[in-house]
Amino acid sequence: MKLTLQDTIMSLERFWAREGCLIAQPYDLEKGAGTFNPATFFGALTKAPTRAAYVEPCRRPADGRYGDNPNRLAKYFQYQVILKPAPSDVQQLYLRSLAAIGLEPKKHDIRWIEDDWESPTLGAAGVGWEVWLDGMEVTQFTYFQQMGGRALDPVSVEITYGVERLVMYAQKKDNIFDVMYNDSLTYGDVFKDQERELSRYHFEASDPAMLTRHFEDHEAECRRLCEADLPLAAYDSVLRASHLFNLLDARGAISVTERQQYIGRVRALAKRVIGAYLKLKEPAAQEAVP
Amino acid sequence: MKNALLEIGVETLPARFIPSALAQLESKAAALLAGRRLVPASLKAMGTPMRLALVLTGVPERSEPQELELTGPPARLWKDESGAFTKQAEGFAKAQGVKPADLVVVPGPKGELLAVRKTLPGENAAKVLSEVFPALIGALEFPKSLVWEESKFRFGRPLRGLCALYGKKPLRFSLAGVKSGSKTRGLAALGAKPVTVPSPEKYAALLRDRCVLVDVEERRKALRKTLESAAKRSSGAIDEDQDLLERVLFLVEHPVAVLGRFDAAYLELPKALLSMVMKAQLLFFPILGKDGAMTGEFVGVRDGVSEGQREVQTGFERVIAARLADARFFFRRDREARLAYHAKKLERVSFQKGLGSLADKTERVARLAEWLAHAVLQDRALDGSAVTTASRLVYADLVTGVVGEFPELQGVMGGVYARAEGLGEKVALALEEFYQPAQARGPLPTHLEGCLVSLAGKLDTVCMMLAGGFRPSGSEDPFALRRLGNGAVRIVLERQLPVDLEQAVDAALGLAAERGAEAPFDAAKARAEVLEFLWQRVETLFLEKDYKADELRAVRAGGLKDLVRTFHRLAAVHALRPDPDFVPVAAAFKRASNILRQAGIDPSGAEEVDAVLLTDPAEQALHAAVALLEGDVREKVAQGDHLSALRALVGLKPEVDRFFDGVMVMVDDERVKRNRLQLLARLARLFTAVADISHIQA
Repeated sequence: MKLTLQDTIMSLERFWAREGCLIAQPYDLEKGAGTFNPATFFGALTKAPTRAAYVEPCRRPADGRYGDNPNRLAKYFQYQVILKPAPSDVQQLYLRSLAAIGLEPKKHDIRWIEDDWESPTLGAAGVGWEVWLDGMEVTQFTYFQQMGGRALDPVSVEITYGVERLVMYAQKKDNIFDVMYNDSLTYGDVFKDQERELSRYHFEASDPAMLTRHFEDHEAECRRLCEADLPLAAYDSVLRASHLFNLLDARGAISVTERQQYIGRVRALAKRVIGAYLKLKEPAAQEAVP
Repeated sequence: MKNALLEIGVETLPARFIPSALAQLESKAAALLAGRRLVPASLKAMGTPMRLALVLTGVPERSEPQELELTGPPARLWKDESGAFTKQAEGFAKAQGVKPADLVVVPGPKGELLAVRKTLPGENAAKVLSEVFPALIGALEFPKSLVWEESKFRFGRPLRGLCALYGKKPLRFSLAGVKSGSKTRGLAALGAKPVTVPSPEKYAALLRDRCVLVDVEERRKALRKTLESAAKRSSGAIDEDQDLLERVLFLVEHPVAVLGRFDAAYLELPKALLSMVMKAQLLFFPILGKDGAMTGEFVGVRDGVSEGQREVQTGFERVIAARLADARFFFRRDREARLAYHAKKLERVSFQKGLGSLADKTERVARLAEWLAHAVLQDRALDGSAVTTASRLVYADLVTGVVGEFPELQGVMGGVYARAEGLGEKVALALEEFYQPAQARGPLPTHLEGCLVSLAGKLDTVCMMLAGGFRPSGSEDPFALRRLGNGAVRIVLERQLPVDLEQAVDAALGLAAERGAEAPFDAAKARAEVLEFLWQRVETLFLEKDYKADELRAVRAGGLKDLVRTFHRLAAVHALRPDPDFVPVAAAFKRASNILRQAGIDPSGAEEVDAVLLTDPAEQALHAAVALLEGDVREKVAQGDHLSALRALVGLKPEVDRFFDGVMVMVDDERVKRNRLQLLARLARLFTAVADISHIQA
């Protein structure tokens, strides 16, 4: 059985649906990781149990290689699962999900390498691993400990599959662009032109002055919407500001010291949104926080 | 007597946590069990990333009974005048559950006390163990821990299983929502079905049958064996990196080596880069040819079974190809520009908060290197242009793509790029070896030019950081300033550089004030601090070589002005110390120094001794002996033969002894007194040309 990319996604959807997950859809704004999808960002924050899974397109402007590198992309897919509270057999559950997409654990080398994920822009941090499948990092596995600088309770576990890499392995392809997306089209057929253009845009053609302006606009917008008790709407501005920062960074338009400042600015927005959200969602719990 | 077992099943612990956790299991279990008077014949910790285990042998059925003596009120309160027990005595006895008549009298810190002697009976071993085990687990410490369930128990990774046995009997306790029992699990890739452990003795064998080598030594042997067998099928030998071996050992439950190959086209990449990709990124062992060069083969170690070996090999080969493609992308892109072009980007990189950019640092290092080159120029043949070129490029590789990906390759990549640019071997080596010595005893840069550039970089960092208030304290030295200072001292000493470190520090601080330091600093204070810091490095270096602290104090004055000479002076003191006359002479010299100090005479002031005023034969003899030796000692000092000079001075012992035995210095006659002081001053001047031996302790 050699699953295509779309089969793989559908298999993961079925697997996690059977485990009681809400099958959510990608969020319609650019973002650097599946964690930014509101299902995880807001889902991990509150006391209420949650189980959700979704595919999420991610943008990493600086990682683009003009479509020349067999492994690096400026835009790719993550398959993200969030489980709260964390089930006690979650490692075995993950291994079974690999079997569900045709990767029998005993025929491969599956290694859990210490990797404590953090997102400085979200003020988020967790403890966990990257999972290596025959030496390649295919999944990030994290016990969420903090978001926006707040300790999370209960703790969520976040499983993030690198969809392309998994499928490369399942299909035994050396190059991401040779992966079969469905039975007739390759990943390259669908995305190679876009990769080439995005790299040119990110590294050569973007307009740093305009990006800087937009960053500032969204920073102001986010603040204004938080004041107006519209945290879910304000969050869109966090996503936009974060992506604009990534674009500026890839373009080499930000110095090292400025870089830290930008990250701090986005984090401040994320914290503000979290504060506004919890004030609406869990006002009692918020009063208890000194 | 029975054996006991504790197995803590976990989600994959980071490799670096495990050795310390195993050591803690043994030491903390021993302490906890001793506290409960249940002492096993032996304790052995075992473990893999998925489990930490402790096997106890010869655990007694019951803990030792304990004799207790509980003290109460003063003994005089036992009975009143009528011979009846007092209320206090009765109350104490009742509280302890004995009769007042059974109380005993024991000595206390402030007089005799009433006491109760009791015997605590031994406890059932199973009960003790089921209390000690959870306490033991809670006592384990990890570099980083997390919470994952409602009780908020902290551990290195989530705790998922507890197996605890005393003999065949399962022990019951619970922790972090997990109940203990007699079950364990085999290798995760095989499904990890729970299986009952029949007894502690059968634990390791049971796991071995399920592809888990829980005993660390057994696993280490298996790892070596599987690596060797893979190497036999290769064209070379395994690069046996000890750190990597140790890391891999704690990454797997059952090591199985897989030999793979990569495209020979990647051999165009520098060996250090290939090695970094394989070892640091992929945890693969390179296979090296006879000449030590990369062969295009490698060995990866997988966890578990040898099923699907071919599939794993192609997987490893695919991932190494991808990583090497990425490394080559950076390598080629870096080489599109010259190092001088990369160096321009350093303006945007900060050196340290408040201490300017790396471009500022480059400028200072370049000028300090030129200053140093000038200082040694009269003495040594030197390629000045290599110093200039290299010092202006030392930090350029920090902004290249490869070093961005692999910070450990700083310096090495600078060398690679300089060679490719045709900047010459001397410049390339100076860049490659700029950060040497990397360890306390590591090698120094090969060429004199490289040494000067490296010395400039180290002195600049030490001066800037200390002036900027970034001091190491205790065991905290986050910027490795001590290592840098140690390297600077070693370069001057081992290359025998005629560099006055006091002047060099002045030059470095002058440059710091001019460029980089964003806030003004107190130059005199910084100078004193840096010189003291460097002298501490000198001390550390020589103390490790068995020189003594008092010997070092004897050569401290002006010690940094000429470190090479300081070393010869120190060696002379050290070599002569066993001489039976040495310590007494040192004591006499200390006496002379004290007299001079009390009289307010500076021995370096040159006043003549008036021979006519010398009347006592003892002072005449000392004067004659000093006059006779003086020229010879000064000549030997000038030739650097401090040992002969000091030996000659120690030979003055009879005259010095006679002088102090028979001559009173502080007499009433002012002129005689003054003259005698001058004689001592002259003697002191002669000694201090080698060492101030008044610091030597008996």
